Amino acid sequence: MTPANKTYIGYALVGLGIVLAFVVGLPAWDGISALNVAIEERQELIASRQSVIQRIDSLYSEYQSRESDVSKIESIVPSKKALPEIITAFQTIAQQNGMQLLSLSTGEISDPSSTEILKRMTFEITVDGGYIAYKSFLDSLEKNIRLVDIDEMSGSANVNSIGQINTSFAIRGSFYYIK
Amino acid sequence: MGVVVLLIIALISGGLYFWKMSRESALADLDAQLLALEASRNREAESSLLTLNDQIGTLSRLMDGHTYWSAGLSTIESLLQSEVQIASFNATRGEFNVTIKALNLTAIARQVASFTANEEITDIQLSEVNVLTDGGIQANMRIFFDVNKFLKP
Repeated sequence: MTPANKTYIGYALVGLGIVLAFVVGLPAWDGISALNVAIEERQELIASRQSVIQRIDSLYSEYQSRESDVSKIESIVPSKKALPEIITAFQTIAQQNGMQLLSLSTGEISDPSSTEILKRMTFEITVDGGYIAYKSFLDSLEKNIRLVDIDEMSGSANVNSIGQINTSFAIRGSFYYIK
Repeated sequence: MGVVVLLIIALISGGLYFWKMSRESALADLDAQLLALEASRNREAESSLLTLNDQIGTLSRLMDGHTYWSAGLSTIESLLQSEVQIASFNATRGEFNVTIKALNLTAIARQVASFTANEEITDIQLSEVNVLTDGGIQANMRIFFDVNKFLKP
């Protein structure tokens, strides 16, 4: 082999090396850089998810240990309308405070487009009795375990056909449930 | 010389190629871990906690806005002058309308002054002041109040 041929073969081998570097080496290097970034992201994601899962587990254990407190929330704002319960509550509160429940009606504020989980029901009641009893009735209603909000109220004294003074009160308000 | 260069480049390229393979394998392991974590999620716990969170948020807003009309009535009662009687009332959030009866205009004036002096009451309007057949005075009074003070215990 002549020295010139050796030189050509040498150049050819170097050229082959350069081609190899471009075809295998450089793409592999680029790939490694991208993979390192992806691995780092996945590791962070795994660490963050593990931490979230641990937090959820810990919160859920606490949730289970405080089930009685959680059920109180259900009593304040139940997950259904529970109309019979609220009617009974109005009747009981009126009786306990020496008032006579004369009328009761309920309605619902309906908004199908609303994404709000809280649903509002309205009520109107009329009660008969003395002012002191009414104040006590109002106080009991406001402190009732199922949340009741009073929006409007009125009261007036009337003289009936046999000359007795009757004081009647009307209340319009709201109670709620979570859908 | 050409052989040496080719060998070095081949070694480096091969090394990089195998390194890349090992990185790909590590990434696949991490993806499998992520899938396992996803599968280990306690959906029931998450759902219960989310519901509770909604309930607490909702309840908190409701409790903040909860009003106590019994407190408002007590305030009106405490400010009522002995020579004044309430014949009827009508109350909405922010406004308390009363029809009062008094012996004379001086008593009405005292009553207005008594209500005005209270910091929970923001304004008073008096209308339809009439003299009754028994000589007494009847008047309609609109009492405007600060809901956050007047209707809170």
